[in-house]
Amino acid sequence: MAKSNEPIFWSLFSAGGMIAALVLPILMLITGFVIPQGFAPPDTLSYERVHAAVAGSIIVKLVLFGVIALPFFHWAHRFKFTLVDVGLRKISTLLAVLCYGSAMAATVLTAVVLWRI
Amino acid sequence: MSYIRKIPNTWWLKRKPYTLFIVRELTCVAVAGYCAFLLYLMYALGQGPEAYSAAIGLISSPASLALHVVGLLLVLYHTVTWFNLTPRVIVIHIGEEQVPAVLVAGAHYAGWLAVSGIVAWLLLATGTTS
Repeated sequence: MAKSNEPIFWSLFSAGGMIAALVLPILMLITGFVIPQGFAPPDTLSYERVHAAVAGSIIVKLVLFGVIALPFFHWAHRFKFTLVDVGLRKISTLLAVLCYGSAMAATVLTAVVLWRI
Repeated sequence: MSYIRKIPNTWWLKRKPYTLFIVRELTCVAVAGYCAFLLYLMYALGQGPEAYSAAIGLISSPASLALHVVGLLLVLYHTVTWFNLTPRVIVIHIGEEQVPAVLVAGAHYAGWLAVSGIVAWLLLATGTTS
């Protein structure tokens, strides 16, 4: 049987989907409504506070890396298969390269961005 | 010679469950969009106070409110459909007994509540009076 990368990508899809399901709703509620509508102190996401929390902690950076990077693989998997399902089956391989390539690029970018804070 | 039945590309508009399936799959666009926003925030954080203030200031705009409303609805749909599928993916046995589906999904909903509480507490409750 030919070697397949499928299990690796499926694991990343699955991990990203779980992180997105658990963490993104509360984050979106906070950045979309709680803070803009004034239900939280104005300095909640101030530069001083967020910078102090992120810059000094490798643990915070690792958590942010997981939360930001893994959902991109979730996106890559679903987006690719959705496009294939609605009629782009002929360019399936190209779509896989573009989608998973974007997710990998986003992962490297996330690591570099967090490293430099 | 194999015969492949031709399916029109609009198959997913024909029945409601098919459409909901495509909607579920497309929630990933909201997921990626929000993570791209988080990545942009982190980039701005690394650029210094002025860049960060400009970036975080975006959340007060009407466009941000509109995007957050649509995004949150899609991400909530992802969360609910994702947790409801967990019993099909995670099959646990204790002795001879299979753990009921409602418990497997329920554990994920409980975990969601706990994670949401921790994130809210970390961001909103700790040290904001300084």
